[in-house]
Amino acid sequence: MSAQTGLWLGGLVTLMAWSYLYKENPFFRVAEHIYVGGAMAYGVFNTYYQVILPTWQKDMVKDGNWSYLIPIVIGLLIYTRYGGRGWNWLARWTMAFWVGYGAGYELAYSPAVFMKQVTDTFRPIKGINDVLYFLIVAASLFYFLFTVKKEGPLPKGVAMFGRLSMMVAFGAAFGSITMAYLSLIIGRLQYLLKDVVHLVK
Amino acid sequence: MQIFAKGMVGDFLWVLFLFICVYVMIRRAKAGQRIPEIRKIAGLDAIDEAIGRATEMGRPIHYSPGMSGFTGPTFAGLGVMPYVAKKAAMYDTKLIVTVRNMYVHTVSQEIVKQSYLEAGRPEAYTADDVRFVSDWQFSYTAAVLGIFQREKPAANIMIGHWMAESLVLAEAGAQAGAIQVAGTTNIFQIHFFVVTCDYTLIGEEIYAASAYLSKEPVLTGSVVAQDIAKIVVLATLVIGFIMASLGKSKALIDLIQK
Repeated sequence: MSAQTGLWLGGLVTLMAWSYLYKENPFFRVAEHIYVGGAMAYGVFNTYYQVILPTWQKDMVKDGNWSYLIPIVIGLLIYTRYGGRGWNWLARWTMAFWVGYGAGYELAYSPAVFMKQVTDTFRPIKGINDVLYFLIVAASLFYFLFTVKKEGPLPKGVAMFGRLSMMVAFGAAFGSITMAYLSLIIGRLQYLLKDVVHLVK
Repeated sequence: MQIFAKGMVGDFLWVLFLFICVYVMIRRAKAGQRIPEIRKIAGLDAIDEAIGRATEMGRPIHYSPGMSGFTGPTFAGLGVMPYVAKKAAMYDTKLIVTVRNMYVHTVSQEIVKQSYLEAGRPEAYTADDVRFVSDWQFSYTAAVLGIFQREKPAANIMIGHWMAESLVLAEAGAQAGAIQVAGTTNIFQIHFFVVTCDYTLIGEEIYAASAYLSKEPVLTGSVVAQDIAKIVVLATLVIGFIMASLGKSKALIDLIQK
């Protein structure tokens, strides 16, 4: 396939995907299925050549790390879901392992992130920004207390200040990320108009 | 022998403190002792409204627990799923769950199946309605866009970890005419939900969701424990801020980051 054919194909699939903006139609459906099917094919290919084969050939056969058999067996147990009532409970071992791993990882490594955020808030007052920084952090945290009733002018006011501060931050983020998305669209339009149909030099 | 990696002592003590708080509060809740109630969260009240609307219109509900594997937001999304599934089963409303992660898919199937069983309608459960779509971010997005337009859900509930696809999905949900409730802890995506969804769960609110909806004392107990931890953090912030202003915060920082 020549380079230009590839560019045309890319342009065509882009337009098919964008046709969704009008309404769902057969062209979008084809693009959607190509995307899902292609991703699945790539995933299978990648898993086989990047994970399964090197693990078997290098780690197990060449280096003799046969302990890899343990996670392999745990992983394979997931297929017992298709083995009927007598076997399908074994799939829960794989799930239990993954859920346990996920929960454990979160518990072990999440504090490291927010502990740093806590200590970063310890800033000496050098200007109004430092005071604002502290007040916004404290008020936002106060907003997320779910079992403390926000009754009375002070608690209500603090929670409202926290909420409004977050909304200001969301607005700023919305603006900047929308600009980033616009640049993506411009990049794609350049691809279509410059590389595919050569309308723009 | 070094037991802790450098900088992990403070983290360990913090997690231990959290464990104790959660354990004590759950014990109190189980013993029937009084624990504080969770305040009103509008986004979570709207879930009932969304399910009711889908039932009245005879159209399905779409639910997704987010894009990541087993992380905190995914657990939050999976925590709300039984509530939605049970209600959908009770009202005989079709529930479509789309999942990006294959492990989360298996757990989602189990959760929905169990919820239908608990609702007394195991025969209504259809495994094909809990769909693993693709583990590629935008393949998943393209497929869900198609589902929105072809199956026209009247309610779209998305609680979990969301990334760049959040705006595309929420906009497509709005186009399909769905009432939308979405929540995430990703501060770079929440604003997209705020502008496109009817109700948004901001950050931590998703962690209180399952307790709020189920009103189970044990789950509520763990939310109370989290609040205690937040109050401790708040107090630490105030002390740290004052000490930093007096130029004496180094000892406290060293203690926390030990």
